[in-house]
Amino acid sequence: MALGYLALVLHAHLPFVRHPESDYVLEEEWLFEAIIETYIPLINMFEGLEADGINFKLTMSMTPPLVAMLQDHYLQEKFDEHLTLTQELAEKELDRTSTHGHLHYLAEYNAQCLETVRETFERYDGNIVRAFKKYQDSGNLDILTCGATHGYLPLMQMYPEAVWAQLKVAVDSYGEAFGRAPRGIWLPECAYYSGLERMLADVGLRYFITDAHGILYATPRPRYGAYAPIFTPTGVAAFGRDYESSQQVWSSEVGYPGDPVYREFYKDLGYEAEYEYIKPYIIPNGTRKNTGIKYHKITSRTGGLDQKDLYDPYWAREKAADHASNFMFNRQRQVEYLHGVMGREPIVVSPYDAELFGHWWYEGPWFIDYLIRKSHYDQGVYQMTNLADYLQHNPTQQVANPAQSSWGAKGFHEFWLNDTNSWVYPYLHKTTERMIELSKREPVDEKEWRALNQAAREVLLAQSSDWAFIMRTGTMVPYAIRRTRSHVLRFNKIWEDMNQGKVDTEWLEKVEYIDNIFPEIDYRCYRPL
Amino acid sequence: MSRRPQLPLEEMTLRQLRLVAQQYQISRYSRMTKIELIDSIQDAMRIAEAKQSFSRNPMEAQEQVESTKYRVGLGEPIVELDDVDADLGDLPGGYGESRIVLLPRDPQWGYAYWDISNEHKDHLRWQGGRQLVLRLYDVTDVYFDGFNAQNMNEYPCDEVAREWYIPIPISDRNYVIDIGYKTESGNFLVLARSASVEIPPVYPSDWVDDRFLTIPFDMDLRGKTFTSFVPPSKQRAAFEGVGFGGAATVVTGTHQSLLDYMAAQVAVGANPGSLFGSQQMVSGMGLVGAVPTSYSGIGLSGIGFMGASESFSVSAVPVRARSFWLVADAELIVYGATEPTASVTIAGKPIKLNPDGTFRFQYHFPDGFIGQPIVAVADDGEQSRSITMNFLRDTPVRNTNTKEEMVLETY
Repeated sequence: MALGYLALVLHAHLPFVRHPESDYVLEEEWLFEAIIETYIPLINMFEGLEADGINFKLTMSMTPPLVAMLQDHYLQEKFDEHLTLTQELAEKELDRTSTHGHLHYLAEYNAQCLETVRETFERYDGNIVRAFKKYQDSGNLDILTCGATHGYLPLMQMYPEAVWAQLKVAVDSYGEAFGRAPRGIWLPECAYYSGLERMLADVGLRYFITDAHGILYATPRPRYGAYAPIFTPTGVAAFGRDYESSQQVWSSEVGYPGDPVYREFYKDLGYEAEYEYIKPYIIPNGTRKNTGIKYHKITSRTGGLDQKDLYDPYWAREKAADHASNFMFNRQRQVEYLHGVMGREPIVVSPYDAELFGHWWYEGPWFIDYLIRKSHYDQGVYQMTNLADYLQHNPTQQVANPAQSSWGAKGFHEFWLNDTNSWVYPYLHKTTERMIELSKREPVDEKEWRALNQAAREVLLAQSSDWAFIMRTGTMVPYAIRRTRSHVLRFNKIWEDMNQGKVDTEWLEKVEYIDNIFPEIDYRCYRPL
Repeated sequence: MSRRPQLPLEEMTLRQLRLVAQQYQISRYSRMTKIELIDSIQDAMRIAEAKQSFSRNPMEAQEQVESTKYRVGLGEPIVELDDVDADLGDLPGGYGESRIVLLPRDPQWGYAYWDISNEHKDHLRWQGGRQLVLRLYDVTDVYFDGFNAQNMNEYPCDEVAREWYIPIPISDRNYVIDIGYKTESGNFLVLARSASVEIPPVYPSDWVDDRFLTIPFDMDLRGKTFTSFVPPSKQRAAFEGVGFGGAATVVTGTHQSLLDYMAAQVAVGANPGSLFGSQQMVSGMGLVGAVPTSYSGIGLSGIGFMGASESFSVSAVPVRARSFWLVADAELIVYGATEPTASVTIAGKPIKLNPDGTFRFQYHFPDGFIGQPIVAVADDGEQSRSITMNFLRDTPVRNTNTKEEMVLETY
């Protein structure tokens, strides 16, 4: 009889990046790298568990922009081309390394992995959302939705219509992709503020996740800390993140991913290879970039890039198994202790970015696989569950109001509101105000209907919290600035045109083609509540 | 941050490569061949990139890992995105309607930005307005009519500024901000008022009232409310003089044990990014003790508030011991504007301007001397302007301790 629960939550998200208007856009590769290194390896893991008869339980969030991109034909084709090119490079590598035993072993290993990616991609006809849907329908995966474009809700709290639109559009698009209404939501950045629970209830959602202090600082004080969810007064449940399990995985200094045996993220063939050789596989203007083909291991937590030894997936896999055992052991002790203190079964909620596993930490999916298997076969202290199952079986909880919080650095909103990015908010807010104004209209003809809906798309795309995040981290900032500008300017054009009663159809068609997220959107979701 | 080369290294001339090598401070670059230069620069770039990614700050570890999903290449290659936006002009500098917006940043700081038309400003100056000020109102539990705030703080501000970080007096409250002019006679002429915004709490709640509900998973929650709480502060107002009588349960061993358990995780450094509240005020946590910070200003007679294991019943004998705490610190804000194409350095370090040419920096201001020479050089390299401001902080009196360092003093 298990003493408690462990709920692993993977948050899969990328902002909507789609540029059919350009020949080559480096930022589209965020998606391709994530598919090859994270999403498909996870699917392969599910398939393996299913084949071995393990009824695994996992919670995943898949954000609307990510789902939209994975289902988009243009991007599926681009991915196919990207994969082909990468496989071609992997083939060449087999030749180039034919005289060096270890390198050749790795080259074969890489080529094989890419071939598995291709097989999986084709098995689902290029639409891997089908795979995730399959495992949700079977009762294993609990797929959460998220804000429509991952907008940072506490920083638009003064415009409830905008918050409502982010929720409503998300719920609708989820229904189209997964064939049912979503039950739970991953709030963007787990950012919560008081009042959100009313809207979550009214849009049909049942539960969400906050960082630990969102529950710990709740009013009145929760009896069980963050180890049981609380019901907000509207009945929507809030789960709190557990620190202990977070730290073991997130920290590159003391956590698992920094182990010397694991593959080194920063040493990529795109930078190492001889220029003329690699030129067809990097950016067309000749600048080097990641190719995803890597041969080295971390070797030491403090060493330089020139001191990396060659990787060996065999030992890396053994290490992942060790780490999974260690993680499991810690969870067992934790659950035992908490059960003793609480007098009821604790739930340890461990949320992570999905892209941490596979993309950043190459061996991550193996770690999860071992963890699920070991938890299933080698112990009985806790059972792995997903959040929907837990609430089904545990419908009695304490009522309290969660505290405003996020899972970002320092626990509140600073990461998205500081010198690097505060400039976006006047534009986002003004755009929101104008959209609310526009939403009150009824369209006189089909062109206006299309224009109003496109205006709503532009607002949503501008609100992606990813742009502010990127500006703060300092990588690839010009792209984020450009996206914010583009969507605000495109919205403004529609606004000005509509105020003069006209629609620039030729221009509108182009923009509809490029910013084609949420085809079924209804702009009236911005109407005053 | 050094500027990335726009051309791929392999396409550069020897002269260009040497310039880049200089930027990366590669030693003896003048003696290297082209190939050697390219190799050294690439190594230096990657080391810089990798170093930048591993800050010693454990709180940002999560963000740094998250940012790697956007890391497909070093530097920023020139990407020609076709311009559907070609004829759309630039982002407007203002919208001509006076407004001010208050945003919460964290329990200690809010952020306000405003857009006030010059005509509006002139109009109020003509009516006697002299000094532009920001007014922060505590409007918790109040329907604000301009005069009935619980508390108000006033901050004079610069005519040129369009944004400000606002220090928040007490966390876990609701605030509204006004911008307006003070007249010589002390009247306030309002230019714009923000919506009310909630500032997050930074401590666990002291209010204990365990209520449990059973809600079937399949129940439709639309339009329903399951319970309403009356917070103790409101209960007190209803029962004036009777003291604290609303709590249905006591703080049990369980409440405190779970709090201690999570606090211990934070102490060991098991915190990837939150539960810090204010780093300055609370070294690691403010998870101990039960001082009701949310109710400051309201008399707390008859309550024993030492240690969470005290029971909050009306008949409790007042405890004859007390403790107290105060922390305070300072930050320095430096801001300004120049041509967006200029290069600006502060104390010799190049800084990044916002797209509209403004800049603004906020730093912790410790005891001692800070000299801030600011130099702006036009993009033609010919014209320049500068200003040097010196700041001296000294703390002649300090009698402080944090909340967790509080010690009982009997009296």
